[in-house]
Amino acid sequence: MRHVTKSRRSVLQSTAGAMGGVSLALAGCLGGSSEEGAVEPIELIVTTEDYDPIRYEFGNLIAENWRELGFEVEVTPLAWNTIVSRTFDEQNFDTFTLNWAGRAARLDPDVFCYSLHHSSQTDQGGNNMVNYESSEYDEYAEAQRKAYDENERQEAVMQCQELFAEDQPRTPIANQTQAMPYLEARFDDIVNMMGEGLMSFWTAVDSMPANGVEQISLGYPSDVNNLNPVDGTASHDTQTMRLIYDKLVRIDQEGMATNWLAEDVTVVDDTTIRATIRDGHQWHDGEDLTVEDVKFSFDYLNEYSSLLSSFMGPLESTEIIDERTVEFTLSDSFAPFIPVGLGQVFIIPQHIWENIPEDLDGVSEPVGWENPEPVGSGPFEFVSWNRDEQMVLQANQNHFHTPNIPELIKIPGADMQSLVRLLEDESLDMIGWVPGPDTVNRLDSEIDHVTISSIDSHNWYHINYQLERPPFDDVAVRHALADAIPKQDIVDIVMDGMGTVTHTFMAAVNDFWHNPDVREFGNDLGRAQITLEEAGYTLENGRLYYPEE
Amino acid sequence: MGLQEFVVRRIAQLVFTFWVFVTMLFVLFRAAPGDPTSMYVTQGMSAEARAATIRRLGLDQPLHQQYIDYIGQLLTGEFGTSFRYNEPVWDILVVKFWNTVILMGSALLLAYVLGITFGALLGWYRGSSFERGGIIVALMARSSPEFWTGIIILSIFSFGLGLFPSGGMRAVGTQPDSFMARYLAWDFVYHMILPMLAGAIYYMATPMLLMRNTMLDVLKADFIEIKKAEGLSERRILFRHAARNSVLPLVTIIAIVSGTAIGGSLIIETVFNWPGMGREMVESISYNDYPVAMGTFFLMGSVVIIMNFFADLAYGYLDPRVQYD
Repeated sequence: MRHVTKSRRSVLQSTAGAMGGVSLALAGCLGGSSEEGAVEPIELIVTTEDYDPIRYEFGNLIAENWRELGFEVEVTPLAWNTIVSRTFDEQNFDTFTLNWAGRAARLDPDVFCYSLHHSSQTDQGGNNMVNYESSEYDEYAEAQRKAYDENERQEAVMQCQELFAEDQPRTPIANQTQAMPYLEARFDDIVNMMGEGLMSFWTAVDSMPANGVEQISLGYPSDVNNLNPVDGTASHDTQTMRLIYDKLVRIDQEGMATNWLAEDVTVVDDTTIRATIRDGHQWHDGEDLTVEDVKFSFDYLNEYSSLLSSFMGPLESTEIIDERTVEFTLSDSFAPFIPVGLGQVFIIPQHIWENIPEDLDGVSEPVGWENPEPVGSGPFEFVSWNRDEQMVLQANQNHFHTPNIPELIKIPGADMQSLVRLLEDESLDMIGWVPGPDTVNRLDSEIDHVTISSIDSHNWYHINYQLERPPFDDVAVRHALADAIPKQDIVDIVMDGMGTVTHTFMAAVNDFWHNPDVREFGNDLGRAQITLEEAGYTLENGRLYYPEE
Repeated sequence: MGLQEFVVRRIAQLVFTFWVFVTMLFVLFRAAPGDPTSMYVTQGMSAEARAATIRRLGLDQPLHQQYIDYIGQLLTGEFGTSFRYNEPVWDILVVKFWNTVILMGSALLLAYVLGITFGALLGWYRGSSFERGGIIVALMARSSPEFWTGIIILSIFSFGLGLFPSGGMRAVGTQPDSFMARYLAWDFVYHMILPMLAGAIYYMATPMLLMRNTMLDVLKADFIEIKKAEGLSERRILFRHAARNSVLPLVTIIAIVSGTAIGGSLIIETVFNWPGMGREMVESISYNDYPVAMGTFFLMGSVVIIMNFFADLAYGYLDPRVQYD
């Protein structure tokens, strides 16, 4: 590393300077980019500073180091919409920063192993927009999908990570530590969960309010879009609906599937899975929840919900075996079916949904229904909702897992700062989102009644390379670029220590699936230079040239 | 040309203005990058699900078809259905529109009452240190960013003195059950005082300085001298005669300011966590929720267009020197 010690201030100053430096550097070489044998200038797309200061700042840090290697780098901050259309949709990029947030469903390795890196996912709009194609990798990614045996599956997931690290189609940088503030006096015990922090399902159902506290308010920087389980596009909507609707299985705090509405789930054979539901459970309107409702939910959501049907994988049919058992038949063995399929699909009441959309005028499909007063069977019942003001949920006293919080009030904020102010003047009990590092430090040290609850997340910040474009089609270049990324500085300075350096897509906190032995890159500009030299790249006047043919 | 013809022509202009306005809205939003599904990509929305959504929302139709549908909808008084909320745009906006109108309306009312009064006094006491001080204060209020003023107000009255809540529209956990209960409750007014103050401070300078200028002109007029000669009290001349004749130009300004205030409420709404239309506007743009975004702009623009129309008519009515041509 060039700098042994850096302060946040000096880094931010150089970041600001870097923006000016780019235009100067580029101005000095107009027409030079097509120079014989010179490596093309690289565009690094970052989010705007408002949208995510972390990505914006580390993008600029990384560009600085890449320039040291002789690359011409231009950092382009873009609005999120634009980033999506340029990267996911058009695949028209050199490199860009991205963060896959840690959601409960992603504790299962399938999303990161398969949908991000399998060669079948490279179509426009797919998650493998870097066009990583490796038949060897594909083999393991498919194997982990097929293996119901956890140890066998773990082995395949480890292999995926090893190959991924070796090939570096993306460079993982860090997992974030989620530090969320709450009022200590309002709780006897507060539950936290990796990847979701205080927004987790278990926080809402298992946290213990202090004696005499009847209402707990939870702030979030935006409001829910809608409470239609057929939709569920926005994760905030899903996080809210899972309190109102049950699932057969829930992901527990360790990240493993645990029975919920199902009291037993059995893998009969590779393509047959049986679930037995609890006896005597009721919908919020007092109707009995039956095995017909379960079958109906899977049939209905598979047909009408593009989001939930994608979690069901190769589900072919759902059949009722007896009055408490359903059998799922798959066209192919699919290990994630239990944690991801059964763990994501909401069980919805047939007596309400079977008439939708026929009963509604103006709504063409169930996904477009407003579902104004959701009736579920979950631990919380819907009471009322004034958009952008508050949503009130109350504990379902008839539930087999009755929450300790009698009334949960969700407060949407205009932005993070307005929520923090509400928390400071004690109008709010907890916030389900991470304020910036500065705010966390201030709350922690200066505001006595506010406590910070911290937990590591399995999200991962990373850099994507477009493998179809030179120079990124050369693995040596990717290794060099990865080595030049100052991962430790990013964690220490940009994230203010609230994070962990990572070298793989399965975070260390997700212990069972994490491979600690992958090849590591980063924090080593010297090695990056050597890698390029050994691959035959040359430097002339600070500019990098391709190897002689 | 008579008054009737003037009114008819202004109405025709109004219709044309609206058509240009809604067409511009359509073009602007369709030219923006991304689509309504962009925001959900990293939340796990698959490419197939995205394509299905685009189809369902009719966004795969050719642009001219979408434009025809959109104009057709507007003509029947429909704003369409929100992509995100699955609710008719009108239902979403009507509540937020009132929230914003009541907040900004109160802020403007306060700003104009204070602004006109102080402006008249500044004009009257021309050349005094009171006038100089007043101008400096007005310019400072005008050039301080609203968010800064808002945060200063918050830190003094909410965090410093603990007199007022730091944000929101009502206490956590209370639920109004009617329009009247929403806006006539003390809890609501109590929550509105600080944001109203922040808005009033910002919007006060314009009427104040404008009033001062017109006052200076009016005070030079002969009739004021006559009134003085008649021996009327200073106060009476100031408020009865001078100020009254100076208010005229402010009528036009009110029209323009009302429109910008509805949109400009965004910053105050953000600082004070007020559930209004300004916030919805920005959010719906970032989510490419075209129906809602266009609805917010349409409402805001309509306020400006209609207010201007009435200002024109009112001006023609108030000032007999205005020619109808």
